[in-house]
Amino acid sequence: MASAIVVRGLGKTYRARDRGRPTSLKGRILSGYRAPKREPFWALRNISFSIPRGRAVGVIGLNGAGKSTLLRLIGGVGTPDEGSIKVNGRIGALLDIGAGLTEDLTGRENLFLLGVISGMLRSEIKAKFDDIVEFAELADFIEQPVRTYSTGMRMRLAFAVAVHMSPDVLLIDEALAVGDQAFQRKCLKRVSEIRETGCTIFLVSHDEAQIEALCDDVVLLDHGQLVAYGPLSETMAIYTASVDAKVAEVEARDARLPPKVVEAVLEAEVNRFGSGEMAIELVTLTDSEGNGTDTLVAGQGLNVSFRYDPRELDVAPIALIGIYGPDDTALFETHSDRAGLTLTPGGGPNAVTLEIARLDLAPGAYRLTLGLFAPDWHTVYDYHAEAYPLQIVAANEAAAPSKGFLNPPNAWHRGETVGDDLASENA
Amino acid sequence: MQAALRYQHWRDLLIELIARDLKVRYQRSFIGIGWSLMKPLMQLAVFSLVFGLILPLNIEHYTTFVFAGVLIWSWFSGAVGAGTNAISSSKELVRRPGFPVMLLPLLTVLGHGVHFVLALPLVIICAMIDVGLPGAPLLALPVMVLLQLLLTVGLVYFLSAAHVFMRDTEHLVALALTVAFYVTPVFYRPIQKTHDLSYLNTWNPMAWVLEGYRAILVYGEWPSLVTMGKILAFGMVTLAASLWWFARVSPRFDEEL
Repeated sequence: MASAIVVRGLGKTYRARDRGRPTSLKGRILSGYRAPKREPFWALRNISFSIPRGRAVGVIGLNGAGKSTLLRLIGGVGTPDEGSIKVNGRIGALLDIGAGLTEDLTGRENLFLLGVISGMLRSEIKAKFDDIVEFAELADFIEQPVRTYSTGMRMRLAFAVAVHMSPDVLLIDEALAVGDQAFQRKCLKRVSEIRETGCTIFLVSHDEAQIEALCDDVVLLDHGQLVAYGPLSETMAIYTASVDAKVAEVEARDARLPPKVVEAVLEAEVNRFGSGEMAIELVTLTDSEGNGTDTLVAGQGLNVSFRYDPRELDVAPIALIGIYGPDDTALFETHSDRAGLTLTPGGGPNAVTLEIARLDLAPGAYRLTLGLFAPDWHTVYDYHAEAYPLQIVAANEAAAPSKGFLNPPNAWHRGETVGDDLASENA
Repeated sequence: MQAALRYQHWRDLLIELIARDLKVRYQRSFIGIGWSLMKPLMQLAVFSLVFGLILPLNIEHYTTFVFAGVLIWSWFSGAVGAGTNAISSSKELVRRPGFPVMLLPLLTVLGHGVHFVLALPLVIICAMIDVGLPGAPLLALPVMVLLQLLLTVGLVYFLSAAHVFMRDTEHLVALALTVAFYVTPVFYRPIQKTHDLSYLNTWNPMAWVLEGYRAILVYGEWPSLVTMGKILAFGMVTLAASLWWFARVSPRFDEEL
């Protein structure tokens, strides 16, 4: 059977990553053309595998494992520094959904644009136009400019275009979490349909459930190396074991405070604000069992800790912690002043922890906001707005909500007895 | 089969992307695409006033001469100026699997070319009133347009790739275009061969291009084969060198953006 994707001895380095290379004239003159020599960073190394036509392969690995780099290389963006990649057939890609829409053009015009950009011919788009519009549920709005669309409508339009090209190889980068539950289900169904036409699927995701639902085989990456490639259940077992091992290792190293330090991309005046007199450092999340994690099962407890260094200031700051939903809704926010807790003032770095006994949130991606304020609230020392990711996964799909953020323990019962009661009351 | 399909896809991409740029720029304005004519028309008015009446240059058919000059120049400078940003302003497209990055510089030049081609009939009408019917040499006009396209595209491929790696390129290009406007005979007649500075025109490909167009429009003659040959040779060499370099560095674009 012919292979759809053949990857041999693949290696990719990033030289520009270190930002050491001057990209301005001034920089070049000042550094006298001497670009600083750094050890190349191998984003991927020694990767070899081949995917038979018609298989659905998931790529899994922790952050920084090289998943997205691999996907882009297969898509032909950039060239490998070592080895080779061969893809047989037309490539379709579901990534950066929603980027590339032009505000002032109508839905129809954008549909054509997105279509040709994702590799379709105009004639093909014309032929599939009605199907795409119907799939996107936008028939009434297709002649309106996209600037009047809601976020959900934009996503639906982009996704509908992307799933209507008939590729031989479909690359998907965590793009399936689009729109409401009903639309997500429709998308997953559509991807399965595409698969049935003999299309090879290459899916990069953090979501184990998604990979389990869609894939036959799994590629496991770790720090740019191929750890395993094989059937779903076996490879996922290796992955789970390696994640558990990592957690155990971390716990063993420091039992008191398993330092799963949560990384956040902080950018001043974008999601980081404040005077900087005191800084929030070393943010850690642990579940009720004390395992460092940024993924919780709904209903588990959560401890959020961070360190602050008062430096010269001899004051007891106020700590604030909040949980925000994907649409920036504040779901929960509290501060140490409200609880009447005076934080340790002055001295060396101090720590503070908020213990949440149970977090009954619906499965999904949330963000944590942390803040550090002066005792009189007049100065913001440091504020990380929606900077730290928190994933909630369902303990039990049936009890997870179909809509909304709350996820209290719940169960359905047939209501004969209640009905009888009501009947007797009414009578 | 594969190649034919790719050609069709590239063509469709060009059509859609050029249409997008034009629509976005003009859709919500009253006189729409007419705005693209405003700058050349203003320049025409100013130059006619200054060099026709105040400081007469005594060039015959000065209106046609300068109108052709400013329109040809605005395509060139507009395309080179915007083309320098063609790659770096399209991060999203560059990072998209399967998108032919090679198209982006061409796209900008063609987009500006649309304005030029739409304005060409106005110059021809102007020439008809001012000079008289250009006659058969008018058939050479499309050739001149293609030659200018070739020359511009060659430069833009080089500049757009250079700008990805060195972000000063944009500013250098803006400066160079300002200087180039004055050393190219856009609103004056080519410098006399005996003059010390005549090399500014004799070694200037844009001066050759202007000469070619003006032979047709102002003098009603066939453009000289030597001139066209020089543009063709220069354009081909530039384009070949630029494309070679572009192909070599384009795999690194996505890291730099």
